[in-house]
This record gives sequence, C-alpha cells and structure tokens, in this order.
Amino acid sequence: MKLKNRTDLAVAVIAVLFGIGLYYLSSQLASPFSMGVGMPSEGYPQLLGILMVIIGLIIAIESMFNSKTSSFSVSRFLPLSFILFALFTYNLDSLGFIFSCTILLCAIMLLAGERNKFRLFAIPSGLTVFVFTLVYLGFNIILPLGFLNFLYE
Amino acid sequence: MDILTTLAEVFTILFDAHSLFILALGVTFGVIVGVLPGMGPLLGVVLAIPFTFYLDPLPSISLLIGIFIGGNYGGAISSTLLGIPGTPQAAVTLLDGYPMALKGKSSEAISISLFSSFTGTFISAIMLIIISPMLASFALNFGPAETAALALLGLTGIASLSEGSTTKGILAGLLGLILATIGNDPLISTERFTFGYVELQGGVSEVALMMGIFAVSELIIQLESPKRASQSLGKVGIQISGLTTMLRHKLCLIRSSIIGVLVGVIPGVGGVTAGFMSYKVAKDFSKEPEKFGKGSDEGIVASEASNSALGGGAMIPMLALGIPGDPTTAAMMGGMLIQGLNPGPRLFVTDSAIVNSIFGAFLMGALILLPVGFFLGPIFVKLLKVRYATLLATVLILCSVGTYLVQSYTLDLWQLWIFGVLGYLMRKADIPLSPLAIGFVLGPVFEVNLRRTSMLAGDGYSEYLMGQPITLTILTLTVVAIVYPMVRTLSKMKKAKTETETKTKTETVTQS
Repeated sequence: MKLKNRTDLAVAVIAVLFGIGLYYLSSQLASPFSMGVGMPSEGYPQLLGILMVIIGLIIAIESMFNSKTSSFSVSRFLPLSFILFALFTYNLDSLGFIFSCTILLCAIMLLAGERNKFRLFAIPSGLTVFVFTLVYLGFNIILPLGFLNFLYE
Repeated sequence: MDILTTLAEVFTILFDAHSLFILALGVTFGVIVGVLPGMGPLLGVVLAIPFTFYLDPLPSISLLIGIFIGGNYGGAISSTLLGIPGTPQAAVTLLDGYPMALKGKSSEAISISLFSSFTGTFISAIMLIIISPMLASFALNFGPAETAALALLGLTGIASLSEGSTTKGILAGLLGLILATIGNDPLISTERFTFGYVELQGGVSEVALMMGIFAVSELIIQLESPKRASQSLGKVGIQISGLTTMLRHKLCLIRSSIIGVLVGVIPGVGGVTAGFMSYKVAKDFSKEPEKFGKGSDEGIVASEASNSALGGGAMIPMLALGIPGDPTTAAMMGGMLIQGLNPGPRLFVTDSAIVNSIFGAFLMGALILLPVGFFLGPIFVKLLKVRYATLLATVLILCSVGTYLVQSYTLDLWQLWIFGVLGYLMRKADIPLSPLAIGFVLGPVFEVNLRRTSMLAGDGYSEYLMGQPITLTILTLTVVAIVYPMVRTLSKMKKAKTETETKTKTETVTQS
C-alpha cells in the first residue's frame, strides 16, 4: 500500500508519543494528599493521555486508507518570524519595549514586502511610541524601558 | 424572573453613558476588523480581551459584544467592494454583493448589508433574551454529571461539525483540554506540569493562547500569501433606499434571521453554513431565483441577516449553559471568566443584573451599528487602502502588548509565539483551531465536574449513570455527534470508490 497522506501519519505519531509522554509525566504527579474517593489529580491528565494515544492510532489507521494526498509545507517565514519574535522577547528587558518592538515591527514589515525606507522607519517607531504612551496614560503601566530606565528614575 | 421584568432591567442598566461609549467603540473597532480581510470578529475579540482587564465587568463585556456585532457586519464591505470576504461568513454576501458593485451599485449593496445586518442582530438579540433564561432555568437543576456531559457534548459537537476531519477536530479538542491541566489542580491546588515556573501556577495564559493560535499564526500565514495591492475604490456611502429594498424582502429577512439563530445555537456549525443555508432557502422561495449570484438584493438580505443573527444564537448556549457555540463566543467566555463571571445557568441567579446587561448590550449594539455604519461607512471603505505591511505591524504590536499587559510576564510572550507556531502548524496539517480554543476554555469546567461525578459515583459508575436520565441523553447525543460524521465520511469514501471502479470498468470496456 502506497502511503499518500504522510502529514496525517506524522500527526498520528506525534499524538501517540505526546499521549505516552503525558501519561508518564502524569504518573509522576502522585498527589501528597489524595481525597481517597473519585478520580485523583493525576488521573485526569492520565485519562487524556490515553485518549490522545487512541485518537493518534485512529488517525494513523485513517491515513493508511485516505486517498487524499498531503500537501504539508512550511515556508521560510515560519523560522524567520519565530527568530524575530524570540529576539524581541529575549531583548525586551535589556533594550526596552520601544527599541526592541521598533526593530521587530521594522523586520516584519520588511518580510511583508515593504521597501520604502521612510515608511520602514516611521511606521514602526510611530506605532511603538503611540502604544507605549497609550498604555502609560490609559492603564498607568510602564512597559519595559530597558537601558532608558534612567529617564524614569 | 418573567420576561417583562428582565426587559425593564435591561433598559435601566443600559442608560450608562460609559458603557454605551465603550459599546460604540467596540462596534466601530468590530467593523474595522471585519472590513480588513484576514482579521474578523474573532481576532478583534481576542485583541481586545487584555484591555478589558482594566474595565469593569459591564463595559468590558459591552466592548466584546460590540466587536462581535460590528465584525459580523464589517466583512460585507470588503466582500462587496473587493470580492474578498473580510470574514469567512461574508463569503456568501460576496455572491451578490460583488456583482452589484461591478454594476456600479456598491453603495446600494453596502446599504442593504447594513440594514439587514442590523435587523438580523436585533432579531437574534430578542431571541437571546427570550430563550436563554428558559434554557438556564432548565439547566439550573444540572449536577456535576450533567454539566460534565454537556461540556463533552459541546466539545465533540465543535470537533465533529467544524470543517475537516472529525478525528483531527477531536485531537485539537483533546489538546485544548490537556493545555488546561497546566497549573494548579482546580480541586486540591497541587501543581501540575508547571516545570518549576511560578508564572505557570495560574495556568497557561488564555490571552497568549487565543492570540497565538488565531492572530500570530494568521500573521505568519499572511506573510507567505500574495500581497494585496492598494485598491482604487470609488466613492461609497450608505443610502436610505437600502432600507426600503430590504423591507421589500421582509419574509426572507425574518426567515434568514431565524435560520441564523438556530444554526448559531448548534456548536461548531458556523456562519458560512448559516449563510449558505439561508441563501439557498431564499433562492428556493424567491420569485426571481435567476437573479441570485448576479447581484440579487434578496441574496444579500438572506446572507447578511443570517450571519449577523448567528451571533445571538451562538451566545445562547454560552450564556445559558456555559458552552460556547463558536470560537468567538469561546473567546468572549474567556473574557467573562477573567472578569470573575462564570457563564452558565448559575450566572442567571447569582448575577442576573449582569446577564440582563449583556442582553441590553446586545440590543443596543445592534442599534448602534446603524449610526456607526451610516456615518463612518466611507471611512471604513478607506481602510481597505491601508498598506498590507502596516496592517501586519499593527496586529503584531497589539498581540505582543496585549499579552504582556495581562500579567507583565515575559513568559506569556514566549507562550504567545509558541502557540503562534503551533497554530500555524495545525493550519498546515488541516487540524481545526476552534476545538483547541473551546477545549481550553471548557477544560476546567469539564475536569471539575468529571472528578466530582467520579466522587459521587464511587465504584458504581454504571448504577450512578443509570439514575441520571439527562446525563444519559446528553452522552447519547455526544456519541451521535462523534459517530455520525465518521459514518458519513465512510459512506462518501465508499461511494467515491464505487464511482472510480465503475469509471475504470467503463474505460476498459471502451478500450477493448
């Protein structure tokens, strides 16, 4: 039998492994004070783990009989955007919201096809300063200032 | 409480200038997110949730309801002018709205959409006010077994009826339930799967999850899709003649609104189904069916009335039973939970004033849609010219700030990006996202009631369940909700196989 739907099979394998992992992790959760009756704290996630394995197996069986060809493809935008998001979050405390967010928005706009240098600078910085001020005035919350913290102090 | 008393409370509470202003703001923002293709009311509600933290319960819920109502209408504008549905349910409006716009009648098409959308929302608000208290008073007698079974039915209903494979829908629902187990145990407060992170004791950030799977994943998808060019659009305004045109199709209007409400009550069916169903019924009953698909005003009335009425319908199970009918109401339920309001039958007893305010907000939201659509219509049209990259940057900053604002934890931002990637991969693997969101929202309700049922039942599950006729009925419906789509798929596959075999045989005979 030629397998046409590899995506579904991969989903099934991940689901089964995840279910087994969840069951194992749940069994480590033995509660120090059990109520004695009914389903214990670890019992519920264990049950979900078992169900996950069953559903994974059903999807695996379905994928073997499914004539639909899978078309799973991940574009370069996924790793690129995730790296940008991660850099933004990692540098939020040191660079501060205004700088890290401006850089993130500028990079995302570049990825989205914006090539006008003025707009690439003006829109991210304008948006960031506007949101920063709005949050400060509206909710009385100061988003991380990073190295600009001395201005506030 | 009788209906007249409820109505009196509704209008007393709604003479609150602050809440009305927030509601109008919500409707306006809702139309904006509805107009912009790829956004829609769900994203609008999700983006607004973090800001509701800083509002009182009534204005915060008014904001979400406003976005819900405005978003349902907004999709019609881009459907009509660009031929790109702003929201999935507006795809049906496109069938007649766009041909009308091509004939130079875009103002007329948008005007009919506005008035039909208003009427559909208004009728659904009336039905929400009448049906929800009755359903809630019936559900008030539900114990843990019935509540757990109901949550299960809601979840499997969404998984089975949403687009794509039923098993993948159930998988997504299970994943939502699993994510909801992270944090402190809801019954005995011991930690589960926090991996030493104090920030996770309160559980996965709901805002991060909703924004991640719906907004961030959409953003990544939009990055890979072809870029939209700025559109050159003519001058568009709202015409009163749209009202008279709509009134010429009174029966179609009422019928489509009722279809919208009924479809909305069933979890997972969604606006597209409601729109197509009422469109088909309208065509079948129409005196001019040949005009459908070529710019029929009756087609626009049917589509817009039903997809707007769907909102009120989806609110019924969410408010009365605590079971959201679609992802947007699931997000709204999340917003209510953040305010300390637990949707469900008990809310009608403990917080009847807030329930009546929600009814009032829905009614007023429908009324506010008229002036907002009328006066701001030309501005909304101009939004279609907003550059694509600017739009993505705005969504991204709203997502990140919104997530951070809730608890000021950097970990919430990590969750946002991780759920964004998860949402993207799920979309690529054709796994529906709605069951995940609903599973996550219903998770604690389901777990608490399931475990309470197991305590009450002790070792005799079967004896206990035999004494619970309502639970048994709900569980039977759950089994039907799972099995029926599977049987339907199997029979379709069998039919397709038979057809292929017959075709091959015919070809062989012809060749020989």
